Amino acid sequence: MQRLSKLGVALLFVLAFGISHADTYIGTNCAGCHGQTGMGGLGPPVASKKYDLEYFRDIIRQGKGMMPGTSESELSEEDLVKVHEELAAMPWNEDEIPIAFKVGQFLSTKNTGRIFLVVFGIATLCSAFVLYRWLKFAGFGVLFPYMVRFGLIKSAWIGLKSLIVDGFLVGSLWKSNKHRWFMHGLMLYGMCGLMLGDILMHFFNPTRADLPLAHPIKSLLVLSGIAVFAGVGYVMYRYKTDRYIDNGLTLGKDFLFLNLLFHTVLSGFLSMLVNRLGISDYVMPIYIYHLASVALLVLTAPFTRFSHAFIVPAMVATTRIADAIAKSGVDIGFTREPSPGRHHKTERMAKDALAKIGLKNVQDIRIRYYP
Amino acid sequence: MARMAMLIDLTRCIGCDACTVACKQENGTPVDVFFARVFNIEVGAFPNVKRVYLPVLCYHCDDAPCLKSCPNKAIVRRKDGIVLIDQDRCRGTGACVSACPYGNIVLHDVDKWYLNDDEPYESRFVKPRLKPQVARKCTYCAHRVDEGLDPACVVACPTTARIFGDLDDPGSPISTYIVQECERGREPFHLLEEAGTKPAGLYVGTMSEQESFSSQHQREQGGERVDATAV
Repeated sequence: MQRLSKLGVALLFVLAFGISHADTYIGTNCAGCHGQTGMGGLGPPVASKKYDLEYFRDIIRQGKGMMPGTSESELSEEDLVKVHEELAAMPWNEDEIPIAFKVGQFLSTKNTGRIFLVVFGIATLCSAFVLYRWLKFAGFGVLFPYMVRFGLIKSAWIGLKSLIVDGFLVGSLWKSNKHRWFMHGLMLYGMCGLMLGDILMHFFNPTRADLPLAHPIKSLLVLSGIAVFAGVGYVMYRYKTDRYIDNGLTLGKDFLFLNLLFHTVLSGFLSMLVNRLGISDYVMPIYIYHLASVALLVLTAPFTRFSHAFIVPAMVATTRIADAIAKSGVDIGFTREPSPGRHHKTERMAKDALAKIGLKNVQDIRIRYYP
Repeated sequence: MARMAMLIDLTRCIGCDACTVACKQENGTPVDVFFARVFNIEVGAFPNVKRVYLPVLCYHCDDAPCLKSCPNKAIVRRKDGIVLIDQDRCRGTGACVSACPYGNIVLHDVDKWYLNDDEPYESRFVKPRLKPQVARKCTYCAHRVDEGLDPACVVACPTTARIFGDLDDPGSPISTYIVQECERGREPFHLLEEAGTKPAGLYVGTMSEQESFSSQHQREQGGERVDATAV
């Protein structure tokens, strides 16, 4: 609690007066990651390290891991030598190594990448299983033979069009309520922006070095984060005012998703802010909290409200295909059923009912819909 | 806590579709919109043919997939277990239509009506109640249930094949019927249980299944088997 209040005071002070807490180069630039006393933070301890000057210069100029490179215009050769000497002269104090760094030293860029590869792998497998179950019970398997008769390419085109128009562009919301569409878009396209930014980072900034705000990838990530944050804020407001939010079944899972998303975005911005302000003690804990939030958000995605991002488009696309088959008249069952578009499900139910009343494995079944 | 449910006795259903018509009359549904349907299933080939009537309607599932798939939160589950689509909230996305494993949700772009527009029944009674381009399904006649009445299909059934009531109330017609039929060896079952939707709609099997149980039961008791076909 005391540390939190310290952070709050420090943030307010810095934001209000626009000054940092140290005026040396190390204090304003290195301390953000390596700590005010050089005993580590987000980065490793550097105090009293007797680096070879050539090696030291290489690290400073080219960067290492998450540490960005520093050009000569930012740090002259003279100052570089001075920093090298100052660091070597800083006392080593084991007690000052933050616990967060001791934990966080396992979170190197490579290790974090490995952990998230596993996290995304598990989430993808779970999502695929969840989607498979939804499609199975939506009758996709029993619809498939009719799709073949209707034309697989035609079915695929209708499905693809639906995934884009109904799924990605959220056509039904656009038609009925532009305001809701915009607020929904903040979250949807914001999340897409965050994912795209992360993929681009993987290729163009594999060490995850801190990029300047003006960098296109950084701008994309920051703008997307702001969009998601605004969207989450709006939904949280709606949770308090909208009587429809509690549908009697999914409120807990919806709330879990919303809170995880809120914590993820907030901790992301906060870790960026404290890093830039050089409040070294808090960089690592907040960054670890951010990573944990992201991991939890991704791992729970297949089972929370997050899953509607892939379930709803898949369900709508299946509906569109079934409707098209019913309208095409390609099958007499689809044409004659009372509410066209569900003949495949009727057949499945009929077989299940017959099996349960003792008529198992019957092949010759004919369904008549009217007396 | 109440749990409204409907049990359909397949041995009693005669496939008359009175429920289908009563539902259409009660809810004023347009052409091609049926909340209560009866499948007329012919099984086998001549001369070994059997006919089974299977009435279906929304099962108001405990773990309703339609509700979970709705992106607009237009589908709600009431405290008594009845699952409803709010017409004012629904935006006609269509996810619930596929999500229902039983195909009990209907969504049409354009409604067609049985009578002319200027008929008082259509213009004053039916159309103002039904919003176009939204998903629709059986409500267990929630408006009737709230008044203490049974759903229209239950009232209309001439053979009382449909038994409606509160599963949590041991004295309700459905609970007593289940106890009675279980004692006779007819365990109620759900359709597509593997979907995990925990539906409130129950069925009890045909007479042949019951007879085979009775015969088996009598054999176990050492009694004479009664041959139904010889009577």
